Amino acid sequence: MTQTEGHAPKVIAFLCNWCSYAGADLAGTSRIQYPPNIRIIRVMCSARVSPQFVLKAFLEGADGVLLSGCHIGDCHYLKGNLSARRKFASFVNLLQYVGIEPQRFQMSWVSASEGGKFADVVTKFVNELSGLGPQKKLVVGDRLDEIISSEVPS
Amino acid sequence: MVMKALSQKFLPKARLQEFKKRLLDLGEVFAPVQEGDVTALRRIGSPNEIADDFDQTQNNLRAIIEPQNEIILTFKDTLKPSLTEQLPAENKRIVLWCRPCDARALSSLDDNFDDALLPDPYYLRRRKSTTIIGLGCEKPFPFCFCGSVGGNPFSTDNLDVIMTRVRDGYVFESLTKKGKDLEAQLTSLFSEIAAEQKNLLLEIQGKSRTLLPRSAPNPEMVHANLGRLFDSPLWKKWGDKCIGCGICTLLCPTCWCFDITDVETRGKGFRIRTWDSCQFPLFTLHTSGHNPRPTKASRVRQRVMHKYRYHPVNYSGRIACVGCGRCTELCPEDIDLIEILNDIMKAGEQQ
Amino acid sequence: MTTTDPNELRNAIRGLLESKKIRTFIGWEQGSNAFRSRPLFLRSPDEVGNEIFSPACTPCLVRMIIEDLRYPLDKPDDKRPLGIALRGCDDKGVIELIKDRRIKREEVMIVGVDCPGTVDWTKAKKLIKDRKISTDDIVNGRLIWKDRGIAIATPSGEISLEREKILMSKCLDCEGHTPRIYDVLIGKEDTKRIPAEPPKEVRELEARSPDEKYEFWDDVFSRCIRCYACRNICTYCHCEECAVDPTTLAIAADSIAADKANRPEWVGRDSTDSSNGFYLITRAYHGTGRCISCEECDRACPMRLPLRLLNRKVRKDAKELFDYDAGKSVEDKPLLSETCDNDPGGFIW
Repeated sequence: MTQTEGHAPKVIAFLCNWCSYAGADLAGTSRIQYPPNIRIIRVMCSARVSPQFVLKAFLEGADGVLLSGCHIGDCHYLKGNLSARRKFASFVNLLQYVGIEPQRFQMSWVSASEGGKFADVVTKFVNELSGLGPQKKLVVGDRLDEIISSEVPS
Repeated sequence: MVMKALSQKFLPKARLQEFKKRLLDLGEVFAPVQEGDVTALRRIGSPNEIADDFDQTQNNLRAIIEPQNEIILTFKDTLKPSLTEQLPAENKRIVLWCRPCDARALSSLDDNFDDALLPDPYYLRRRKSTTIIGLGCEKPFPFCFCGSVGGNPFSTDNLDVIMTRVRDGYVFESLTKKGKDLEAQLTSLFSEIAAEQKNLLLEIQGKSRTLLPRSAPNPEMVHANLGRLFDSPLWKKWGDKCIGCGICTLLCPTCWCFDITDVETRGKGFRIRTWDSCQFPLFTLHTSGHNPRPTKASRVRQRVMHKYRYHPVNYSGRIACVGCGRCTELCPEDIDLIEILNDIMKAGEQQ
Repeated sequence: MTTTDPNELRNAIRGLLESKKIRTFIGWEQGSNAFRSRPLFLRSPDEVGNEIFSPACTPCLVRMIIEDLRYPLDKPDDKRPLGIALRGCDDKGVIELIKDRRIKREEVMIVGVDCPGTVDWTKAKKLIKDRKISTDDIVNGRLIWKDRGIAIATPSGEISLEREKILMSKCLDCEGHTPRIYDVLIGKEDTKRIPAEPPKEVRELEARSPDEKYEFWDDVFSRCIRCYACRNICTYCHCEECAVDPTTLAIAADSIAADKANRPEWVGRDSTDSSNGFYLITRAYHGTGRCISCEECDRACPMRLPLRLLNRKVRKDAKELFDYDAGKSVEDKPLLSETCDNDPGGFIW
């Protein structure tokens, strides 16, 4: 775990219930170390996650977003991960086009038995993220100080 | 109305840059800024940001005095909230070179916000702390019709100063005490105005009225006709063309509708006032699910009625339209207010 | 030059109305000045005289089909098709609506026209200033196509206007003057179809660094006033409840309090940079595989934000990633509703 200038990146990880979430669980029970910066949101399938979730996570202060699902062919709902792959193939391009650094969003396929891979994914992601500093480009209330012109006690 | 100036001075072109710099020393300055293909009134940080030769600004004084996003409260710690009211600071604000029609429009906003019983402190603080320097319209824009609604390219309503571009510089005319105070603070920049410049000014003022490209039916007659046309089919005729975007109202200088929402993020948040539009479909939606204005026809009718019928009825006859032409020019489907007014006159005659 | 004779067009429309085959015909009428036009709804043969077809016919009429779905132009029991005039760029919008199952092919009666290009009012304003065109000519002149360009026809003669300086930017990259689907074509079919090229500006922007890109887009986001005109005029934005508009979450008489309170609000009503960014990025993403680059969003924007750079980008990506063209055929399945085993996945760890 590396941190730059005392900033610990906040990562939101959307994990599919059947594979990636179980994989993360396995990493835990196997006592494999990985950075504590991630906050996990369990979804039933990676297809549940739309790009709006990713944008919203950034808006609410996430520095990085991970999305992980089952390997191709293994989706519990048969084709959910294919849908996620298609949606996000397009979306990652758009995200980068508006200037969000490519290291801030990442997809992975992690199966229920890949506790080690999960830990590797998180470690690699947080390492690459740490060099970037906090995400300031899309944040709710970003112009708060400019919009407020003075503090008058009520 | 064109008020007689309290004093007339001349600002030579050579001192223009210095003039702009000095304004920035005196307070927050808002001026027309070129942004790609359009001009907008923005807060500026340096004189070079000010556009030299500019079109009508897309936005208007409403953006300065009733801003689109205004935080009125902040709260910290949503578990034990403490509220802090966020009244605007009473910093000196100077608007440089707004058009007379936009300044005239402030009267309609004052009608609403400067209410004896319920004055709006946010609006009023900004209103009172803002000095407005107008720029006379020597050449009105392609959609202007201020002359038809009681206006004038050199109207002085709500202006503290009016400047006019003449040969070699600008005439600077103070109109109010605020204007005279500003003039006093900049006095070293001005020269005495020569008779030749005074004559040129009169010439420009006279000519500008003849250059108005469009004229609209008499607003008082429109007002009278509207009383009988609530159920006229003319509203559907225009409503069918409308896409409900709200540009006409969001960029209208006499519009002021707003919404208030609370935003919470990461344990703290703010209450914010934002612009709203009667053209949005759910503007009038009740929590019961009933919507009194469910059709585009009813919403188009509302906009025209508000400007030419309801506002004057409620506020001593003031027509809430200054003839700036933005609603027509910026409408993506070219819904033409003057043609609607013509239809109103035709329909009124038939009744 | 166009091969469409406006009189022939009017006769065709008159014929459709007289035979009562359609309930309303959507065309164009002359607008507030020579350069502008607006949608015209014709219901009786004697109104057809107002119908025009000229370089002023810029608005894309496909949007009116979507408007009719929500705010019926005619009585609900009138099941006849809507008549509409379509140019070479518009047919893709109708194809997308059919693909999205919003309309059926038989619900529109398409009169195709040969369009060599229409004017951009913002460019026109500049030209008016530079060429000092008189107010009288601006108001009373009429635009005509002439050779490869445009001219203003006035009583005292014609004023030629240079093509690049007056036409919509999409018209300078026209893929074909006439629509590929129609019921009747007024004029000659334009058989050469030029495939869309992503504009240089998209490639140029893609080449910049993340911070440079962000600087560009943050400036755009900061100027947006969230009027939603881009969405309201869009040919693919026809959702009843818009995910990025907190004011469209519909309440019915029987909505329960919990329902109303728990509606997710993706983005607030404030028009600050990030909220605008959320809106514009999401809307662009929703256009992947659906945007036909009609560039109406660009034209409608009162702040003249370069929205075509977002939409051209997603269109380019749909093509390069999935070899997908929006608006090509009604047989195509919507892009994001299907998957393929060969979809690109190299970006996934």
